[in-house]
Amino acid sequence: MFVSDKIPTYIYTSLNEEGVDIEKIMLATYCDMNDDHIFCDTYVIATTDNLYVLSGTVTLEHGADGKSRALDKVWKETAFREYDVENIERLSCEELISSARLTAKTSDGRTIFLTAMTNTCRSSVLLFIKYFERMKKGQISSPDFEIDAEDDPKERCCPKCGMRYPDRNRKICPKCMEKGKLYRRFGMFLVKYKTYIAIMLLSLVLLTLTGVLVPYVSNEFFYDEVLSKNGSFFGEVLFVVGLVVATRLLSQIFTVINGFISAKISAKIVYDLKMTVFKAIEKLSLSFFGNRQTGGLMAQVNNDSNTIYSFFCDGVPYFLINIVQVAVICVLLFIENPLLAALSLVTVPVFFFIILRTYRKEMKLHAKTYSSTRALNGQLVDVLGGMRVVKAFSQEDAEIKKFDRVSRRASKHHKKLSLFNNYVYPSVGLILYLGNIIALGVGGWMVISGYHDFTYGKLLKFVAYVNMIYSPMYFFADMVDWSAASTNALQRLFEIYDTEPDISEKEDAITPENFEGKVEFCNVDFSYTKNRKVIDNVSFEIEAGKTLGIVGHTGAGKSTIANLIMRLYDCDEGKVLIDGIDVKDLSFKALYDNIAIVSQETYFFIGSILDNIRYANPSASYEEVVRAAKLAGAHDFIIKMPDAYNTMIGFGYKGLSGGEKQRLSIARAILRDPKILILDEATAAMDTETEKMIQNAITSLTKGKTTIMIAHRLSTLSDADELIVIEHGKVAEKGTHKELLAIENGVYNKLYTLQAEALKNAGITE
Amino acid sequence: MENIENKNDIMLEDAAKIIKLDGDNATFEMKNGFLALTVKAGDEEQIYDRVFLHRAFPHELLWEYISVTGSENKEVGLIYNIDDFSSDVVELLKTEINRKYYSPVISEIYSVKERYGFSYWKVRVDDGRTLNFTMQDTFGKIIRIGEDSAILVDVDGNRYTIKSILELDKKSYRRIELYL
Repeated sequence: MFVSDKIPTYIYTSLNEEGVDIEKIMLATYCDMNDDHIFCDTYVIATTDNLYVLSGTVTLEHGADGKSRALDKVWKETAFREYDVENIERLSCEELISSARLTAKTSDGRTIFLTAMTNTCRSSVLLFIKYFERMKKGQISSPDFEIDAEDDPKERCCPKCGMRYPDRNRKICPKCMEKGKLYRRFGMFLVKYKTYIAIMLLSLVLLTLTGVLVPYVSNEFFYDEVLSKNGSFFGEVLFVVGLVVATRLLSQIFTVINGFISAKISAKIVYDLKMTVFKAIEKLSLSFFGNRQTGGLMAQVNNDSNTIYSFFCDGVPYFLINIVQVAVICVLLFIENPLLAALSLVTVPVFFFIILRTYRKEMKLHAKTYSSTRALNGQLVDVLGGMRVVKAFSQEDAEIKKFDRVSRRASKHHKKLSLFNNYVYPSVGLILYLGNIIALGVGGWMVISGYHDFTYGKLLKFVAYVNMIYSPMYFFADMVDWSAASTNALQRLFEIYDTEPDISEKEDAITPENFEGKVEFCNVDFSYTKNRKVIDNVSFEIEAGKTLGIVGHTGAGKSTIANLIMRLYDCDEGKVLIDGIDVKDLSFKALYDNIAIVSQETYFFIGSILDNIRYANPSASYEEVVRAAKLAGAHDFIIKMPDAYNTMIGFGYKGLSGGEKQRLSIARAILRDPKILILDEATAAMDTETEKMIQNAITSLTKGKTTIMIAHRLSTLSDADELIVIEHGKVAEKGTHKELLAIENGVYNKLYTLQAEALKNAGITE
Repeated sequence: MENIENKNDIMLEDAAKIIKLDGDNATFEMKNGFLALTVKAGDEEQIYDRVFLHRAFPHELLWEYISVTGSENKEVGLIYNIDDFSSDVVELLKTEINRKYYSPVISEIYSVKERYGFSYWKVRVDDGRTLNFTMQDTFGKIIRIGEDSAILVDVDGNRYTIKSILELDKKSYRRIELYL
């Protein structure tokens, strides 16, 4: 049984009263509205024979005897409807804006409105529909059927607290996420740097020790033992100066060692982190990228590794050292003069209280500054990228005004933040400094009055130690935010690292020795988002070496077919076979070595033309590259460029025209020499002249290969061995160009006539 | 050439042709829980068992420029102003539009807690209910409408409206201020 949400017992009672056989319930789901879009509890229940919709409300009432004070949940049914499953052709979840409607299409063509819901319930309803379809197809017939692992309601909730994961794809419960676990895991990552980290920590400890030693030598020892007549080193100034210099020098040596190790290790760890994230990203399926913004991913690779590094390599060691330093100094101060120590440190808690309060204000100012700077950058990128359009529509003045407004806002927030940092922090610092003054005043009085042998040297040492306690305080205040930011970054890092690719290679995947190139689609269903079928029960077959043309309106699902052959996505139902083997059983190597795609969107990486053509086959010789470019009709324009095949292209380099890019991408595909070639609207962006030129390149490319040509310009497909017409994800017509033209009022016939007329009107004859 | 240009003009005109729907040529009614429409064009009547209403300017003109599409997603016509219909039809259309664009209006923000990339909101909405919802990428999912309004989109795709940010009480304003 599939129950997407918990069904309370009173619902079962109510259903029982309505004559529903509880034992027969196959599927159940909850919606938070009724068919009038009014908030109430609605349950949609399915057995193999019937579909029930039960609506009502729950009220809290005192016990039935009227005496009990405990409140009971009382169900008040407001509607109950029953439908024959046999009469329902399919269920649909129609999206509105913040809500959706569950409707049923009956076999007599009517649509029935079952219930409405907010988007919160939509994902459960979509699963209900998925299993309802399986039930209709007879794939499941008894309530004890097994649901797919990913649909298990338990998989959508935190096992610890039961709370629904905010994001189904990220199985992270923010309430229960253990910080410690994250840090421990990252600690394992750092294990390989243990020697460096140990040296760094040791140098920090030594640095702290020498730091504590300096005030002692240059104050108490100097004044009480060297300058004082009773001192054991009286008059030996040079010795003490030498001691001070030696201590300082030692401290400096440890600083250099620490800096050296830190610089070395930082570069390595940041590199390692970036590579880890990037490798993990590269492994992921295309659907992962569809759900995320590229900018966000870039930030993840770049910023997160820096954040994590700085916290763990700059923050944590200093934090530990500062803790030790503060503890050691406190002990020394209290041993030396407990009364003065207590008086001098009384300002520390006050400082902390105020700094944490002002800190929140500062964070707000930072967030505002950040958001206004982001808006300013966005505005700048937007306008500079679209400068052609700005000039074409003479909108320079308007753009200057817009920029001025955004820039002013950013400047205002920057100013506020600077003022805050310049006024507030020094003022708060004064509170700490008050402790210093107390130490000097009370300490001075103690020296004069000879309180417990408190000498001038001891006073100076005391004051120096008090000052050494103050500086870590700022650091501790910063640690709160620092740790939050790094926890966030760590969590994002492991999220990517842990994401399992939707498309994975089987352990025993097959790499056939002889790849023929026969492609078959057997009753394939596919949807990018659940219940929105893009490909609906599609079946076709192409023999090896033949050409199949795919025709259809924009958005009909043509390119999705190409994606499924390439196994960029896996189909939901049915099978995609190559040479009789399911693509899911083939190795990635077999697939990518033997299938190539030339699409309307061409993409070139930063590099030379040579590198980009060789992208398909890095071991190709110069001769092979030139031959491929010649076949693609690209050689002639490449050779005219001053740097010819070494011309740098890609982001920030030489721009190529649409036709040039297309020819390069064909050259790339020729070099791959695939058995199966997919041409996805390869010539759509070109004028007829260029298209004709490229047509020759395409002919040489497709020779002897299984070719799948997707095009909306039908004239390019007339030579195909077979054509299929896709409409709303289904195969509407199938046959040769002639056969399809012969179908009167057929989709292909209509499209062809329409296009031929349009071309004639434009003065172009084929 | 002239001929081709004339033909193109005609095609453009056809493409831009807008069928204005008003009380004279359009009759809206509810059929089986769905909005149905009958359009009169001369002596002919076109019946649509199910039509859908879409605001052309959902943030500016709530009851004007309502596009009416049929089940094939093709536009049947455009309502320039909902008041071009009788009061009972206006009521019907308003109900249907309100259902489609349902978005609770936030009147008070009780709390916003940020945790690991998600923000947890507890708010009071205009019908008095207290709602809890979760947002991811909070900065990106708060859509500013003009200077003073905003739409919040939660992880499930539910939308919540703040009609006037400046009119929120001080505490609520402080809670959302960070994300604006």
